[in-house]
Amino acid sequence: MLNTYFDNASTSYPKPQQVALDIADYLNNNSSTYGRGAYGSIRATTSMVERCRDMIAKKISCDSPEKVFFTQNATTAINTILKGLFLTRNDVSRILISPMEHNAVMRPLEYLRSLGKVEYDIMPHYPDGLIDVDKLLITLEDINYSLLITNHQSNVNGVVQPIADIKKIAADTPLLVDATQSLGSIDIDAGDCDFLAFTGHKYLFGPTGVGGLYISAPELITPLVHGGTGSNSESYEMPDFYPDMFEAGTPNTTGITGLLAAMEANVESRHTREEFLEVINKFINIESITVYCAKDVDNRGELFSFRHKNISSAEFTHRLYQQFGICTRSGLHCAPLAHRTLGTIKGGTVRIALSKYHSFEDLNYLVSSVEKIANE
Amino acid sequence: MNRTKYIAVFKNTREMIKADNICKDARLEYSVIPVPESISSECGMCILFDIIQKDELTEILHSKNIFPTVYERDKI
Repeated sequence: MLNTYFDNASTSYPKPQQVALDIADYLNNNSSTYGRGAYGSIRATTSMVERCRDMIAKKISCDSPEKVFFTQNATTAINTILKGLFLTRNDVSRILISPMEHNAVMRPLEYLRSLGKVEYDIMPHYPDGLIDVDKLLITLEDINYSLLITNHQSNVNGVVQPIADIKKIAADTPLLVDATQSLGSIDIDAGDCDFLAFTGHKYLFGPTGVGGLYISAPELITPLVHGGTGSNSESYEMPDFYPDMFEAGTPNTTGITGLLAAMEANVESRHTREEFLEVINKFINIESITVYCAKDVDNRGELFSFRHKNISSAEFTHRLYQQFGICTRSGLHCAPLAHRTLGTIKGGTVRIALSKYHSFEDLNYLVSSVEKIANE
Repeated sequence: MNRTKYIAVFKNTREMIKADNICKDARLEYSVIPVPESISSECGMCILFDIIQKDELTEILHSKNIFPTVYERDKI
């Protein structure tokens, strides 16, 4: 049966079968909390949460797993970092952001700007949104920024930013990487950033409702959420040790159960890199559409956008679903800055977001379906 | 004969569960119990062990960079 779901940048589908099985087992047989007791099922749940934290740390080559914190999603993680850094400061901090940021970054930034806490500039870049590292070096020599922010992979055109190169030239400026669209599909090293936000439900194949962040120097951040941690319980203050400092309240143990199962499933891709690049070239060769992806093949992640010269993005997405059962997402993808950068703010695009579960046959079905509508 | 019992209390839940797994893997004899309220109003867990395990248990935890506070149970 063909896999016609191409909206994996919103949330991934399918998930590994073990995700649902382990969640059901947890809910039916072992639904205990994290760390707030000493009986067997609490030990099992607590051990599971810490195993998941260790796996995330390993995935990002982080040798301090206690500096990996679970949150509800990447948005909460980004809010934790930005508000934790700037909300309590009295001066105005200057921030430099990539041209492809999602509203998960833009809205907390705008909120902080409205409070007079931050100002922000856009990094020098190429037309496809790729950061121009050479010009960035000159910018950083001229202006002293408090923080750099970039996503690892754009959720609109899939451009993959050169994180290691950016960190190399910006060694003295903290770097926040939003790895929402990359963790699980593209390698990233915690050593190349100071803050890393991620979600569990996209390319890690976990359920929704669980994400997290890595903070290299947590002592610099004021926690966003305060509450019980099961530790230092006699105190009204948040603990100053990790991970407790950033994990107030009962964690999403159901979600973490699923995330751990997903990572342990270690899903292998059913298509090759060459097959993906062949497909994107087929899209580029469809005369009536314009494809938005990284210009340089090496910077192409496995998602991209397009739009038709006559058919609106919303209408194209609807026809793909109605005629071929293909699920895509049209519009602005909660990333108006990225669409402004690409010149697609008016009307948006149709986004194609692949999964490791797609076979070459699935990809060819997508191409032929788009061709049929494009040439109608 | 009743041997002396000790309680190891950890910085936080993560360290406690790491210690639990380390002790389990090392096949040490121990129990996990709620933290006695005379030590802390903690709602978490700690490790109870016998004097004959004391050296091995603390040594193996120290080797993994885990440094619990150890109490003699009858003196708390």
